[in-house]
Amino acid sequence: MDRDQFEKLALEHLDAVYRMAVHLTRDPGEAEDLVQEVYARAFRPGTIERFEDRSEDGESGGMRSWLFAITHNVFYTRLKREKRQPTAVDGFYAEEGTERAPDEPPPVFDRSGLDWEHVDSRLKRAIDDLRDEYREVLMMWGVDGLKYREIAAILDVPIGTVMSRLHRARKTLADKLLEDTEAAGELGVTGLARRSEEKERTA
Amino acid sequence: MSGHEARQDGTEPSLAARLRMAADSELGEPEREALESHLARSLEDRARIQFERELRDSVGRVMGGVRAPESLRARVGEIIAASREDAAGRAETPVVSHQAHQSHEDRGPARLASHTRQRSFWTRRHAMGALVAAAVLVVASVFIVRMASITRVPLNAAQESYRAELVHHVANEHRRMEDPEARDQKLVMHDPEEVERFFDEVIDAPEGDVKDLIESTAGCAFSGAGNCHVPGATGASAHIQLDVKVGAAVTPVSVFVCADPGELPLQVGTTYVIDTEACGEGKTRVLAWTDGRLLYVVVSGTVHDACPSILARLGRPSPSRRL
Repeated sequence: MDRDQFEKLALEHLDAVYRMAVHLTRDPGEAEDLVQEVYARAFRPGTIERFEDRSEDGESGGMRSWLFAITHNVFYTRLKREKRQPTAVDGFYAEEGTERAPDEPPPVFDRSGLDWEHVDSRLKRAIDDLRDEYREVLMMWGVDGLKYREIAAILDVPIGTVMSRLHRARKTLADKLLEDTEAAGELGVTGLARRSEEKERTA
Repeated sequence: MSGHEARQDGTEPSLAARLRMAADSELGEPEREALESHLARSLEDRARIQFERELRDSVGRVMGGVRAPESLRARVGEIIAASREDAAGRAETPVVSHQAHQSHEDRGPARLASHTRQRSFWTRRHAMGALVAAAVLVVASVFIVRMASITRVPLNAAQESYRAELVHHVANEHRRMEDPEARDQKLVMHDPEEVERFFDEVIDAPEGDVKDLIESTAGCAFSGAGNCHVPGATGASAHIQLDVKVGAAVTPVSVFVCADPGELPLQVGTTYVIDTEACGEGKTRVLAWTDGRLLYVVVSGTVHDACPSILARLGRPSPSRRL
């Protein structure tokens, strides 16, 4: 890839990288610092020559995934250095390393009773409460539309771990939406959620 | 991915997992067809899939509305522009900088590196020494020509004061290493792996830079590294010393690395030559640059200036600004 193309592609994904940085750091100022470091690393001497865009052949890769991987690594390296939550992060990986995707089914609901627009504010709060690891996976899945395989490559974890985190994140969001009586009422899922729980218990 | 890939232990994904995978378009064709026949009998599971899709759309809406601010866009633009300048600078010093771009593995086995670490290596290999000397002379010539034409960066009083403090410190430390006892006491790390670990864990420097610096090659031998206290640095600092062949002489060069305190107006991607005469250290050459997080300072004598070799090893451009 030539330099012009590399620069163009890298800039095209600036919003996506910043978005990921914001969701990881939860602080716009820190997110800007993180993004600058990501681009400083991405444009280090020799990087362009070594960069291989593998997105076109169907394999995981591509500029966006590559920038996401740098963002992820820089963020967790900083976290480790600052020793903010070293035990929690390490514990999380150890706990999840070989975990299978949980078997709980998604909730059942009556789509005709749903108004997703009204759900957004509650969903935002629920997302904010998620752990970094869940939010990160959720963002790549929900916003960037990445495949499990691509997310696994970015985070350098098995696909099963991605599925597991994604399931937990989605379940947490669904539970929070359903446990909010008002929200469940707005969603028209109160009865259906109960029915789903009963079915799971019976099974 | 196919449903089979979801389970690496050979078992099939559960129905619940397959529903989520179906919602995410992650099922392979056979699994998708098998699920279709199930969904034809289960409206509830169809609804579950739909729920997952709606949730994904909502997550996309809620999390996706973030845009990079213009100020950040401008700063990233500066980083890219500096990198472009940097690349142009490197293109002007092809002889040795080519070496800096080769991967760690490409440069030959570790055995050769350990050989070249020994000073006797150079005396045994006259032809190689002559080639290295010629290469260094070429780079040094380009370096000198560029030095003559570089522009000065204006400093305010606080910046001048910090510059003087920094130059005095690094020049003194560089000279102090001429005393074998002081050198043994300070530069206690000699094992390259130990140095790499130190830089990774304490300094958090980019892995490539450290390898490029301490890997001994013909014409440059890693001498030792130790902890340091660069003025203004908020965290740990490191002092690496190398012995570089300049012409017929072998001269020491020091590289200091620390968290950039941001006291000097350094742009990422630019190499600066520090005005050591203004600091009363005219016999010392000091170069500096930042990668936005770490400050790098290279110190050498002016008679046998080893700075060009260090820049070439790291793939850095020649200085284009005087500070």
